[in-house]
Amino acid sequence: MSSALTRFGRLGLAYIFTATGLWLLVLMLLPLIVTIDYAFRPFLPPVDWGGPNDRYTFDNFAVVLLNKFNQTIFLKTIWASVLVTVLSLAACYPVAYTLAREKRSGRARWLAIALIIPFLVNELLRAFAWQLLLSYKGLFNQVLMSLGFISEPFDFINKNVGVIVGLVYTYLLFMILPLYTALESLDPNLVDAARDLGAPWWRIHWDVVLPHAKPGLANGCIVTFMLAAGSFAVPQLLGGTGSLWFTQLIYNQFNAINWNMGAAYAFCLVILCLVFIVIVMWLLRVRLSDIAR
Amino acid sequence: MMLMERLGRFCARAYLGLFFAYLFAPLFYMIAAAFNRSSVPTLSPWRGFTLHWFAVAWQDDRLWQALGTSFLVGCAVVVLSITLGLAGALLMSRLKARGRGLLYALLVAPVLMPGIVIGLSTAIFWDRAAQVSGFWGLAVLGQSSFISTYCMLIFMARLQRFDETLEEAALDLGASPRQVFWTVTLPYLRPALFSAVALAFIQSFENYNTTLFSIGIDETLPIYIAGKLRVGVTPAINAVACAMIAATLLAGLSFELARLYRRKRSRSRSRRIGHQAASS
Amino acid sequence: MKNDLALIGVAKTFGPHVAVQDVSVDIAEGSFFSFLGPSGCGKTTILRMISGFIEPSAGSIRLGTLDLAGIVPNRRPTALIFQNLALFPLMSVAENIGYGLKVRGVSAAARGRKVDEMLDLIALSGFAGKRIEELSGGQRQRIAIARALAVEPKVLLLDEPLSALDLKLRQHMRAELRTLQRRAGITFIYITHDQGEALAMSDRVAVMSKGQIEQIGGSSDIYDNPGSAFVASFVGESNILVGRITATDGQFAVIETAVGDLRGRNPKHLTTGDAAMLFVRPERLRIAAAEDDLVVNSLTGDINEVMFEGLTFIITLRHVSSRLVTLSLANDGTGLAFAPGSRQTVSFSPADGLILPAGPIARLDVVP
Ligand SMILES: Nc1ncnc2c1ncn2[C@@H]1O[C@H](COP(=O)(O)OP(=O)(O)OP(=O)(O)O)[C@@H](O)[C@H]1O
Ligand SMILES: [Mg+2]
Repeated sequence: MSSALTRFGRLGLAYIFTATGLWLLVLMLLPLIVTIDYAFRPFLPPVDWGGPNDRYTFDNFAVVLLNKFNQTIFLKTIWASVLVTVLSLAACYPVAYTLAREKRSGRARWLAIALIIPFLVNELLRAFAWQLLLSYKGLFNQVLMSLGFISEPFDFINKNVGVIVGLVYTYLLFMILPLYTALESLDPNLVDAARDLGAPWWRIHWDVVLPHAKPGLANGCIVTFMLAAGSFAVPQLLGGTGSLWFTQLIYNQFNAINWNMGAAYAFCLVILCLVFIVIVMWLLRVRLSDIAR
Repeated sequence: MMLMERLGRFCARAYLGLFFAYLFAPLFYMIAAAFNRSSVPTLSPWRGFTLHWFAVAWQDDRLWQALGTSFLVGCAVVVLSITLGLAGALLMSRLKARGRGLLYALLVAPVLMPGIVIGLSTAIFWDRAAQVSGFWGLAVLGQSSFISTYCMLIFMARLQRFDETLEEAALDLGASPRQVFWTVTLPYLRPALFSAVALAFIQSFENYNTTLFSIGIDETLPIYIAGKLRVGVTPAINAVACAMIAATLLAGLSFELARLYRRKRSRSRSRRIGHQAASS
Repeated sequence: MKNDLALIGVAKTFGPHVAVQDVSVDIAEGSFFSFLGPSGCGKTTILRMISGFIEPSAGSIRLGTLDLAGIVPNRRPTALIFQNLALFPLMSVAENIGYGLKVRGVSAAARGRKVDEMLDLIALSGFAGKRIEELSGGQRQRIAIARALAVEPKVLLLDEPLSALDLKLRQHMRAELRTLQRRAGITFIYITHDQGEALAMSDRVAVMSKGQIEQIGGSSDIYDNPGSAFVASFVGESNILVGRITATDGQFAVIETAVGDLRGRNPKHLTTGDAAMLFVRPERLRIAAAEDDLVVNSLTGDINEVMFEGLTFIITLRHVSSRLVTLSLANDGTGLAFAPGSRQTVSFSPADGLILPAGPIARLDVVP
């Protein structure tokens, strides 16, 4: 510690510790603790705060998890987010692989830039662009009807298609970048050697490429799932009233000033994300230090 | 074998083409619809070219006000996040004490937290702790809690390659710790500082989830857009999107050009040095 | 004198690890003093304690009458040349040299004068505007010294500053450092694991092993009269023979070794039966002529290998007991009178054999 004092001086150390401490405490831990505290207390008018009814209870969670309506939405959010993750992975893997193999060419550089541009556009606007295509009178329905595939418009929005397509579209980059980073470090000679030994292409990918990309894969899957499950703008625009998302429940409670219930929902969302992380790490047998770089 | 390989390469190309079409087509459609005379944003039917919707957007006072708030919030977030992120980075990269791993996990955790949870907990905490209800300042605090982490990671990446003996040398020559920071550490961190400022501003400017819960009655650009999208969408919103994309591309382009220019300058300098060395 | 530097019982421990232990030494003002020792023996730690980056765990460091304890590095009258030089890459040569003055608030004009003076001193005038990356290794070396001298320290500390240079430059810089030190007239404390450097430049040398000082003395003293097995083996080359004392007389003793009984000096007054080591420098061994009447200190064996090193021939002889003995012969231009494989007898005068108490010796792999 004396050497740190030498290095930074009293003022520097004061800055470092106060700033980090305030950040940790005031911006992160205290809000989180208060929220968790809220989640375990009933929703009461301020006069009853500290009164006999203001005690810790699981009532909020019972509503979140046992109410049929909520349950459906919670489960839907889970499977839809998993589906989004899987679809993203399937869509991105070939692209990341191709880009990584061509990394030396100038074309790959342009492709990489082209890849990033759509993601500089606001999330809301990206979802809005898809709304234009998928809405009841949108381009897709117009085209499909004029081609005679369907006789009346298909309700993409209320049938969850919109949300899933939109979520995949919105968070692609978070799958592609870690995959690309992981695949880029793969020695191309390994692939050639495997091919030389007569392995079919799918075996090469299963035996050589995928194991190498595992940390990137885990990273991409975790981040994509969490962004999807925690997304609010996309379901708001691309999911109709018939296909609510879990985050929308949180917002509804927030708007209804029932912050205790909102906190309970939020708590469940965070737990869901944590569980997903643990499952992915266990499935892929990676450690936290492999993923968080 | 040859044929198979060519087929494989063709498939890869075709797939890449499709993929990029998927990425860009919706955006082009959205942009193009801004120029249609139709009263709803669409390309079919095409009712003729117009700039009318840009004019409509231009005259929307709420839009300008939201833009102003976004700038205000963005600048505040930049200042706060740089301050906090730099402190975190200095702490993480210089103090090799026990508990470092735990501290790191805590400081990185916000980026893994769903944005709406951060927003909600910020709103709850400030309401409870200080009876402050949502306004732009709370949005700044909520956003900074995780944007600081991005800044910290950028600074840490640069500090990792920092030769600490430079600081010691400066101290040894009589500089006070503060002078060392301003004359040695900060100049070294300058590129990271630029990246961190840019990233923090963009992140803040784009943020919707966290902001929605903590901003109260104020309105940043994403909040404004979301409001517009909820009720009676007109192509004016496409015009706004078009302008934002143009602005983003312009900013990105100038950033890239500045970088290229810097690189070229440093390369020509090293060539000059090589020349001198060869002639001496 | 007023600015003599004294280390009194200085120690430093890192957790359970003892890096420096009970180091006491007086360094006269204006002298060139070296700490010499193998890698990891605590040299850098000592230097960093003098410059204030590390607080000693015990003992004190004084400059004249001033106790340095608690004085932060930026207020100590010492300047350190780092192992990697640590020149500021984003500043020009002039900015580097003027840095110490700038942070002291010296005016630009006065700073410019000092920079010019320093550049003159290191014979690099005209380099002021250059960038660090444009300089050669030797030039950077001199800039680092100029930067340190510009703040007029009482003591200049140098941490293996030549180790990154190639051999030719290193030898050139030795002479140059010595000259600079004389011109600057201040104390230089130099640390190195290269005994050649230490012996060539220093007024006095402290040989270190495992955090402790083994011996302090002038260069020739250290070389000719090493005080311990470690010093004798670390400084210069030696044939080392392990054995037991069988007889003593006055200044001399006889030691029984694997190659027979040998006679040498006995400065530590070992007595019969003591475990001991005999050290003989290769250049003190000579090939005996056939007519010599050899009664003491003769070793017979076959020439194993001859290596020509320009100034000398390095010859290894395989003794009949199969031990290898190394000797070096000056190259007087007449060539060698014998071939590898021939049987020869070598001998040395008892005054050139040094008998010391058996003890740990420097491992060869740490001597470059
Ligand atoms: N900050 C530290 N923490 C723990 N141990 C340390 C620290 N600094 C040095 N040591 C240990 O102290 C011992 C002496 O280190 P020092 O750097 O002084 O050696 P040195 O003689 O300079 O070696 P070299 O010639 O390799 O530079 C070493 O064993 C080293 O591992
Ligand atoms: Mg060292």
